[in-house]
Amino acid sequence: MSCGRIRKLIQVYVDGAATGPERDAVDRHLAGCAECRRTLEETRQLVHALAGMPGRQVSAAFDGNLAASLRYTAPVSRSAAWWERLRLRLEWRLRFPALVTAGSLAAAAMAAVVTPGLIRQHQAREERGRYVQSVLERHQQLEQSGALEWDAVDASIAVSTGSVITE
Amino acid sequence: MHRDGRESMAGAASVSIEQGVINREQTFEGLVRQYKHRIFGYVCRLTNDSPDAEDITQEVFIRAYQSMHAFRRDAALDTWLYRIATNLVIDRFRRGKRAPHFVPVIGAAEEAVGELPSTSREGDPHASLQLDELQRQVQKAVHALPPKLRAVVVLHDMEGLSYDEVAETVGCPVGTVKSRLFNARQMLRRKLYCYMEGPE
Repeated sequence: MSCGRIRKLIQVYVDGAATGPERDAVDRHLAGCAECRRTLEETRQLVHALAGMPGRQVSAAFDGNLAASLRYTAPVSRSAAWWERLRLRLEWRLRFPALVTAGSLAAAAMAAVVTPGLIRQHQAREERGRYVQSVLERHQQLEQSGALEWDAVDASIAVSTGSVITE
Repeated sequence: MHRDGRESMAGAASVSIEQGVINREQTFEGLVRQYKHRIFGYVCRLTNDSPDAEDITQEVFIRAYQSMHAFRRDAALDTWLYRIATNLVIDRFRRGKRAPHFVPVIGAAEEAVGELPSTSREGDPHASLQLDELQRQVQKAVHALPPKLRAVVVLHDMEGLSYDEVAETVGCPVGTVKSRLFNARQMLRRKLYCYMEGPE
């Protein structure tokens, strides 16, 4: 197992949440990897230091202030409590309204840039279609009247499209 | 406790018992007594020792009292309180973005760590100084973490909640909690490298 994978397992190993196979894998790896042994030792010391941070105490006035506030506070109704529970549940999931707004703005900006190009492309395609239609109609007319001259038609197409028809 | 306060808390307790939401032996006053310091400590750590920390803690218990219906019997009381505290801190932080006095300013962390309660003033003075210095550096490093990582590391490593309880508190999957904890510890290890180096 790679050192990267083992370092992730070291976390659950230190927290005592590793499964039997995970513990075995870490032990096997640590036996031959000094770098990961150092990571384990540092993680242990860090966790120990964090757990040993001193606690805090509220001031002596806390209880009195809280009681005074509670005197004018009533429990909310069951339905309001349901909404509160829903709000608490969704709070973290709805935490990125700015991200959603930014995404919407980006999509709108992209649409604003891309749409005119698409419209122009569509117009050009329609114009080409109309031109081809007119050439075909003209060709049919000339064919029916017996006045069709292929050299004249080719020259006309070459001038209109900028291309040259070769045999 | 203040006399008026005791009467009011008792009133709150009777309400909670009537509604049968909280354990019958658990009065609201008992709940406050049991959790006030822990919740205050948590709020201090999340807010970089904001002067509003005690007000926020008070607000946590007021919200808890107001929304006792919202408490589910299958959830742990402390997880519920931590969750309310987390949401309140985030709400305040958002408002703080518009009200600069709440946001910890540059240098506030250093100022705050100066007020860190000392844990060992007796015994070996050299060891005591070393421990104080380590705790100051740890607190400074924790304060510098991004809020999401800070919440997870404070709840798990400092408040002693399990992965599941942290996930319940912050409202995200256990895998996300593990991942955030991994990233937070990596950042802390990098910052505290010189203090963590070598075996104890």
